Amino acid sequence: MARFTRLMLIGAFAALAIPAAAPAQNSSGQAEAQAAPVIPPPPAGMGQVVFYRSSRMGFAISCRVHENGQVVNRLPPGKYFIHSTTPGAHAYSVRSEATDVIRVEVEEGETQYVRCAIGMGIGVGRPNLSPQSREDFDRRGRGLDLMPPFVAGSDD
Amino acid sequence: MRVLIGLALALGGMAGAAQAQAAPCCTIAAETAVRIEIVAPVSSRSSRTGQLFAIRLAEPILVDGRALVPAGAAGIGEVVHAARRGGGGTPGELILAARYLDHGGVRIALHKLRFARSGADGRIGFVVGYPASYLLTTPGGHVDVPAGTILQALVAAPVTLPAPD
Repeated sequence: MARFTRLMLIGAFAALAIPAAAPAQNSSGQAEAQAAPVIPPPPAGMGQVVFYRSSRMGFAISCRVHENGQVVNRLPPGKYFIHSTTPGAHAYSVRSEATDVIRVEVEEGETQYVRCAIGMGIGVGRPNLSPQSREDFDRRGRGLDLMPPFVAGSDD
Repeated sequence: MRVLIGLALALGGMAGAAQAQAAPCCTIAAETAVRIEIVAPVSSRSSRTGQLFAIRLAEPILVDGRALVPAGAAGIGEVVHAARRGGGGTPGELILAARYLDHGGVRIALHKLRFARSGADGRIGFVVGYPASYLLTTPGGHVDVPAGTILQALVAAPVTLPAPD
């Protein structure tokens, strides 16, 4: 048994510890050199929420944002989208083996930022929506591409 | 007759003066910036969505150089969203809003507090071994807002107050 344990310890060479939401990198590692996308102000009388997913972690896990049971848009790694909406309280959710909900208060003329990151679940990765600042978007949003509007019936 | 008319005019003038004295004199414009202080700690460890918390005015609200609302005026904030950190590396989350300040029974509605934070991300590590490999995570961080934290909000709508003493 001791030999078995020793073998296990010797064999354990790992430890690739990475943040759950490491910044996106393109193939040439140029992501750091790029600036975060410029976010235009919301339309008159509206507010907006910028959803972004900067990490390649859990690239196979869907981060499809819903509100009131309807898909707002999907969010593959390295993408962002701008959701213009009416001022007031809104609840957005993402689902895998569990549902994560974030409640935000959108105010007229204001932009809120929400990041999707993939945490660990029991069976599969678990997407999580978290409130963020403009500074976080500027830092992690380098090299993100705009996600086109969601079309019902499209695949992840 | 002249005496009566003079008396009536005098009384009218006095009433007008009294009315002017009681009438509100000063208006705080919408979108005026106010600095507020968190009275008791708020944290993603223990706060719940919808929970109210105490705030107070950190600096007086000045209009034309006059302190219309003194520092210390009490008010209320609300936790718009709170989530505890998760074992899978997800951080704690906290979104706060300032609702209003109270001054002499008049509510001064506030908005645009701009406090939306999450803690540090947890870490995910792979330990590759024989006969099994392991996936390890550390939990994300909390969001703690200590008492005494100063934040900025804006006045949501114009409000007229009586002249300060």
